[in-house]
Amino acid sequence: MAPMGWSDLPSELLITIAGNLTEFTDRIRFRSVCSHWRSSFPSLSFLPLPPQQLPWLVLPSTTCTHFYSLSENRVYATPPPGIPNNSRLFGSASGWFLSLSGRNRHITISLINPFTGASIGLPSANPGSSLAYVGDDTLVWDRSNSVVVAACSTREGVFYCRLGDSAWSSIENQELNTASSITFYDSKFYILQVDMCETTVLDGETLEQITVIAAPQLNTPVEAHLSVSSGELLLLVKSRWMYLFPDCDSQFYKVHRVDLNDELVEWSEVNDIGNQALFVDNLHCFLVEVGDNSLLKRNCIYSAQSKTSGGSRNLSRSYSISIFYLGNGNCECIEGALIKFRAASSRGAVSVPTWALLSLN
Amino acid sequence: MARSSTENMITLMSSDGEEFMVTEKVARECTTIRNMLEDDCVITNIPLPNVTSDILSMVIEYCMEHVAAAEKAAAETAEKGSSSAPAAAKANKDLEEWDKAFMNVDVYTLCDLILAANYLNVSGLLDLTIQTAANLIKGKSPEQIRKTFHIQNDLSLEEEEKIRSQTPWAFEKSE
Repeated sequence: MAPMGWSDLPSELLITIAGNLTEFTDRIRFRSVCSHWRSSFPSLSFLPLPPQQLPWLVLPSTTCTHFYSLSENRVYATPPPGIPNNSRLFGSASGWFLSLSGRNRHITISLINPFTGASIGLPSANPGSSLAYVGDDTLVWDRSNSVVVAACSTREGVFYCRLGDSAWSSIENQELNTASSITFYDSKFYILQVDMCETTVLDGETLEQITVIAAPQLNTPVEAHLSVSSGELLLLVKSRWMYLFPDCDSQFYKVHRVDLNDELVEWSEVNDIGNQALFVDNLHCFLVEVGDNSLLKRNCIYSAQSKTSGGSRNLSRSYSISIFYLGNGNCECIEGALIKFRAASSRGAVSVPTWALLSLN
Repeated sequence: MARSSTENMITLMSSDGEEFMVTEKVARECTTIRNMLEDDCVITNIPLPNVTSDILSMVIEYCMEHVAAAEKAAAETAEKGSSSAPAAAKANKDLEEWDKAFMNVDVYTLCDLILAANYLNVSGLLDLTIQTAANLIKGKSPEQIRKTFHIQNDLSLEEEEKIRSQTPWAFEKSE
C-alpha cells in the first residue's frame, strides 16, 4: 500500500475528525487547509453542529460590530459579511439577528444569519409606528419559520410580519398592548407584558390567542424576561437589590417557574435549574443545556452588561459578563479577553450587548 | 463462549514481514481480526499487509494495555463481590492517563495509527487518535494547521479569497 499522509487521508476519516471539532470557526478553518480536506467536508451544513454550542456575545461599536466567543474567550473584530453598515443587531436563540439600519423615518429591517451570510429582507418600519422609534435597548423579537413578531419594549404596539409581506401589521389583540419579552417555542409565541404581569400565548401561525398566563406576585415593576423550554416557562426577574448598589457589577436574579403541562398555573420560585444555564441581556433570555464537558457552569445565569467611560470626545464602552450562581446567590465576573476590550462609542450610539446562539439554519 | 485455561496464541504478520505473537484475547480487540477468527476458528496466522511493524507493535501495545485493564477490573469485582466505585474511577483515570501518554507521537505516526485503527477496527484506538487529531486542529489558523500536519496548500489564490470572503472573521489572526 502506498504511504498515506494527512493530505490524502480517506474522506470518511477526515470527516470524523471534523465532526470532533466542536467550534464552528475551527470547522471553517478545517475546510480551508487544502483541496482534499475541503472536498471531504463539502459544506458547513454537511455535518450537524454539535448540540452544545456556547452562545456568542454581540458587541456593538461605532467602528464595526465585534463578536465575543465565550468558548474561545476571544473577541473577533471582523464582522461576518452581510451586516449592513451602521446597522443595529438584535440577537436571538434561533441564530438569526434582526438588523435595523437607517435613521429617523426610514428604518430598513432584515433578518440575517451572520454566520452563514444568509439574509431575508423584511418590510421597513411603518413611519410613525413604534418600531421606527426603537432604541438600542428596547427591541424585543423572535421568529417562527414564517412569522416575525417584534415590539419596542418602551412603547405601545406589538407587530408582526410574515416573510414576504410588504408591511408590518399590529397584532389584533385588545389585551396585548406592550411586550417586554418575546419568545418562540414549540409553535407558539410567548409574549410577556411586565406591567400587566402576564404572558400571552399566541399560535405561531395564526397569531390567535391561545391562553394568558398570569405572572407570580412581584412587588415592584422590575426587569423580567421569559424563557420557555420543554414544558416549562421560566420568568427571570432582576431583583431590586441591584438598584441599591448601582456601582456594583453584581447581578441579582430570581427565577420563577410554571409547568405548562399543568392546567393550574402555579408559580414557584426555583433555585435549581439543573444542568442548564440561562443567558440574559436587556432584550431576551434563553436556556442552554450544560453537558458534562462544557465550559459552562450549570445552574447559573450569564448576564451581559456594558459600561461607558471617557469624556464626550472619546467615549469608549466596555463589556462584561457576570455569572450568577442560583444555588448560593454568589456572583463572579468572567475574566479574560472581554475585560480588555474597549469599543469605540459615541453619544447615542448602539450600546447593548446581546447574546446569540449560532445556527446553520 | 467457553475458554480453555491455556490461551490460544495468534501470529500477526506486518506488511514488512515481522511476526507478532499475541493472545487471542488481545487479537480480538481488533474487530477485523475477531471477525476472521469467528469465520475460521482454526486460523493462527494472520497477515496484515496494510500495517507496518512499528505501527502494528503500537496497536498491540494499546490492545494489551486495554485488555489488562479490563481483566484487572473484572478480577477485582470477582474478588470483592462487587466493584468499588472509587477504585473503578481510579482505574479509569489511570487508563486515560496511559492513553494520553500513548498519544505523545509525531503527526506521521498519528496518521498511520488512525489508518491502522480504522483498518483493524479498534474502536477505542480510532476514537482516541481521531480526538487527538481534532485537538491538534482546535484554535489554529489554516496556515498553522498545514504546518502542524505538513500539508501543502494546493488551493488557488482565487479559491482562498472566496473562502475568506464568506467568513472573514474565522481567518482573523489571534492576538
